[in-house]
Amino acid sequence: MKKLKKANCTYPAGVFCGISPNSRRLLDSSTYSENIASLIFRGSHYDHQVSVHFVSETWVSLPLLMRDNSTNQFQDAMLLKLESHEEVMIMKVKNFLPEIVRKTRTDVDHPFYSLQREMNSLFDSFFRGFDVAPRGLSADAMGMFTPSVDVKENEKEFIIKAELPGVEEKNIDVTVTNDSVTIKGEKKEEKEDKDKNYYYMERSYGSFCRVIPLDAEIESGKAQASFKNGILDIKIPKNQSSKAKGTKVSIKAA
Amino acid sequence: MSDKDMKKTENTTVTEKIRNVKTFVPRVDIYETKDALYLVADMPGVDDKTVDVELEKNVLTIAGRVEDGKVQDYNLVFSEYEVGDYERTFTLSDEIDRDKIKATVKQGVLRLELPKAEKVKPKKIMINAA
Repeated sequence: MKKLKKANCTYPAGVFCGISPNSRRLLDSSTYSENIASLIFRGSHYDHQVSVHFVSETWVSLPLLMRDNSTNQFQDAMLLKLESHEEVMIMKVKNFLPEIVRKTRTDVDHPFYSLQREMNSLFDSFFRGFDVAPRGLSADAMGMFTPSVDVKENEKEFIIKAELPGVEEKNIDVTVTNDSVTIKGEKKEEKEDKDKNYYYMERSYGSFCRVIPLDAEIESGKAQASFKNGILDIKIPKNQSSKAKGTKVSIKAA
Repeated sequence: MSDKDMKKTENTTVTEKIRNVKTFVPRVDIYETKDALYLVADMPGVDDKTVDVELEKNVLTIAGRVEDGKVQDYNLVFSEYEVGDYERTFTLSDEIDRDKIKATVKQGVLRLELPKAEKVKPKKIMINAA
């Protein structure tokens, strides 16, 4: 059994999390000699491990609990189709993962791809109706706070922005490793008024923790973070020396 | 609820758009205590200069302008939220003392205190023994 190393993000008490764009490639059956791989859904309290079984080259079964609303019974497996086409892969997996991957490449112009995408979105909405168990236990459903994150990059650095309205600076903890950034913290509910009668309660509170894996190596020592008006702004320079590793070799004509 | 939680809700009712940005509905908590109503709105990115609270007749409008976070020459790696303005309107009843409304902004959270008018505050009536 092989492990997929990177998980995309961590949720406080949540059971599931995403597969990063990097590990997406690991899912490709060609990288495995055996036909079983293991996915780890990372939570801060415990990790939830799921074994996936490659039924064939393109289909994988995921033993996720899924409730069929019509019969109210749990099904213990679901088939997931893996296709070499990356975008399709994202869509299939997206059902029970947080929606973190916004597609940047589109094949709008291509008639077949757009048809395929339409079919996929049909499947997506179909499966969503089943109330997939991990989704039900997700941070959202429990009314917990999950910050939204934007990540941008250029050749020199990454910029990570997170919306953290109402969180105190001292309650935010940013940790940088060589290839990922962790944002931890807690959004506290004010406790001053005891006899509150709520009319609207749309905001959410609670602790959160997200791990953002980054593609390139970063210089963890040179990271800078600022927090203003509820927006956390982290700048991390990329490691230039690691990029230089690939040296171009000139070829001499004999 | 879950979908709503991940995304901002776009406010499609906003008219008079001058700026070419999207407008979102900020999420609010409204709660009542003995003396006042409190409205707390999450508006990440606004500060005391860019937030606007207006009361016209009995319509309370909260609006916030977010000065952009667009950075040039960067590629988007992934994106979960959009930057835009905020606007939401509420209708107040006569029970609110309009002159004493207080607003504060801290870390992207707007907090409005809407004190109740004297006449509607609960009063204990003394009973005299005859």
